[in-house]
Amino acid sequence: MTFLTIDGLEKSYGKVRALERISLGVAEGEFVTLLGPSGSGKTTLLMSVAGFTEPTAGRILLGDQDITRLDPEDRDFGFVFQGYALFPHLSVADNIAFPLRVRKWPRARIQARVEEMLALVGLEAMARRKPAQLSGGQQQRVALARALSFGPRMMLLDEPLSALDRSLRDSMQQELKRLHRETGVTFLYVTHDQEEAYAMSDRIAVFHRGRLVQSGPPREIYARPANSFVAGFIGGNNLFTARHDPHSGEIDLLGRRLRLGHLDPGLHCADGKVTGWIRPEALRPGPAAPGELELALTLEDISFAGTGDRLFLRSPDGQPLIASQTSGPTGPAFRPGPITCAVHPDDIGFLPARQT
Amino acid sequence: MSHFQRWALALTLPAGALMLAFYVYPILQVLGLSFSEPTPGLGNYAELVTNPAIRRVLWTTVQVTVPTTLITVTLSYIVALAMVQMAPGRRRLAMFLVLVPFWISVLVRAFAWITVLRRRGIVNSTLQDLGLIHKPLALIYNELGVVIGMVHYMMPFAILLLYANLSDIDQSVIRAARSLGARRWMIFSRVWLPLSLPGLLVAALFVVIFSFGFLVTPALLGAGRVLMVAEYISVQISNTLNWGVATALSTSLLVAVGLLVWLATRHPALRAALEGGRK
Ligand SMILES: Nc1ncnc2c1ncn2[C@@H]1O[C@H](COP(=O)(O)OP(=O)(O)O)[C@@H](O)[C@H]1O
Ligand SMILES: [Mg+2]
Repeated sequence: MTFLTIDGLEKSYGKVRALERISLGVAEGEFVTLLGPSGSGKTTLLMSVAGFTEPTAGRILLGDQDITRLDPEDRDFGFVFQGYALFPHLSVADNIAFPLRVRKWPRARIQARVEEMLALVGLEAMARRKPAQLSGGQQQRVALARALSFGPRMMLLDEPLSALDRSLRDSMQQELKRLHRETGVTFLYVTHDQEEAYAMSDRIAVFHRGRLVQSGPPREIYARPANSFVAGFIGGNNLFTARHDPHSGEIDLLGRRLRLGHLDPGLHCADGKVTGWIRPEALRPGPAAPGELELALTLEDISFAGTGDRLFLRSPDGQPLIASQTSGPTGPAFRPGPITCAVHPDDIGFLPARQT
Repeated sequence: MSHFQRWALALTLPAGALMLAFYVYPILQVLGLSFSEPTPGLGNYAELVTNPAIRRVLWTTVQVTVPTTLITVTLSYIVALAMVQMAPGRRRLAMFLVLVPFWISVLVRAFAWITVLRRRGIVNSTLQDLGLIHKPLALIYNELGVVIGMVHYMMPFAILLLYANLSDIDQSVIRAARSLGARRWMIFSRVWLPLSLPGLLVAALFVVIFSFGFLVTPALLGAGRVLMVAEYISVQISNTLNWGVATALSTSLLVAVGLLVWLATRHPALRAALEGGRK
């Protein structure tokens, strides 16, 4: 049962089309992430759902109620802003109490709820402090507690972790997931960080230039990207072009001519060009094991990437490829020059031709 | 000190010398005169307290300054708050309209008010034609007239000060308040007002300080009947040649203003607003 329905939503700023016919459903209690690079329209969509941006066309439904033109203050959505947007003149406790005072809760009930929220985000000791006296992570927790305190119908979060350092981001991700689990509130979350999206979401909606290009569970986005943007930018895959001969069923792929049994004939386009992708972890230096495919490549450069090494390779037909390697403390034993690599055919994917 | 800093310091010397010659030196002279003219001692300062004419002038100054400040700051706050929330195009137009009075001399503005407010001016004749009043209202040549003229003079300054202060307030905080369910009045009383209180106090301080120095407007719109401190000093110097009392009064005013500013800078939020910096 869809809880929030976004139906054919459009938003234009003059000639700029920030959103193009977005349709998306969110189930009750779901954690849905809008993922896309900067400028892809994520904030515009979230602001439309919150009621701060008036869409040019389309509808937003909550259950079966049309809320497209409802004022933000009447929506009962908890919004967490990118810069936290705490009230600088109010203490932590008063920030959290703000929506409750607005709703004229009795004093005792407000106090009890504030204490409950402070405990939920682990800030009991900070109740009397002003936002300026808190660290970024603590301010973020206050913003979350404030948005959750009044029992919102839904949570909307715009890149809430982007201002935090990496280690803090990881622990806040866990904390957000816990809050989602414990409160059972529906989360609509915006980020440009694919790992964050993978780690937290029940479902990801990928945005590119104002369009919703793919939506699905994280593993599906990762395993079956719908187009080259999702495969490359979001999935971090190597993209390459291959030529498919529909008569012989053979394919020219990275300098090899092969028969790939699983290549769907529906995928190739008129001129026989297909776009494929290989995961960097699946491309391995060394001779092929039985059933694997051997590629004769050139190693151009190696860079250390903390958890391993990145090998910058080039195929005989001139296409760049990257292989990720876990490496021991001494580093890899490779030198720039010709190198043999292996990949399992199952780790090569092809994109539907129309959408490449 | 680096080479560059020495150079930069050297470059400020001419400005410093000008300040000394044309500002600090005259002030010291004023201070000196207040203790020496016509006879050395504290006689002039004693007279400030005892002379009933001076006490009346000071009382008039307070009677004009307080309503001027309250009205100016209230009206300017409304205008500035509206401007902050306008769309960019309308905001530019509003800003232009606020700045227009700066191009018109204070003298011209005072005479303009006289034609508007006098017994047979537009206001009185309109009200009489409409039958709302029978005798013309005394809108001018009294404290009311002075207050009207001063409010008009001060408002653009106060609007600019308050506008700068209000546009420093993060709009996403206002959005946050809306998303949390607050309506107009709540957002005003719980967010805008407390966040702009330092700016309001600084604007009020600014109007008060300016009011102490008002000369042309009270002289023309008060027509000698509303004698405020600046006009009194001017009369003492140029007409009655009573330099001793005039300089003593000037010195006291300077000290009073200095004290007000010093008090304001002791509060961190007010200091930030005074310096125009973000908190
Ligand atoms: N108020 C606005 N006026 C004009 N263009 C805007 C406005 N807000 C957003 N845009 C444009 O809409 C597009 C999407 O912006 P946004 O939703 O902020 O992207 P994201 O949050 O994904 O980075 C961008 O091209 C941006 O320049
Ligand atoms: Mg954004």
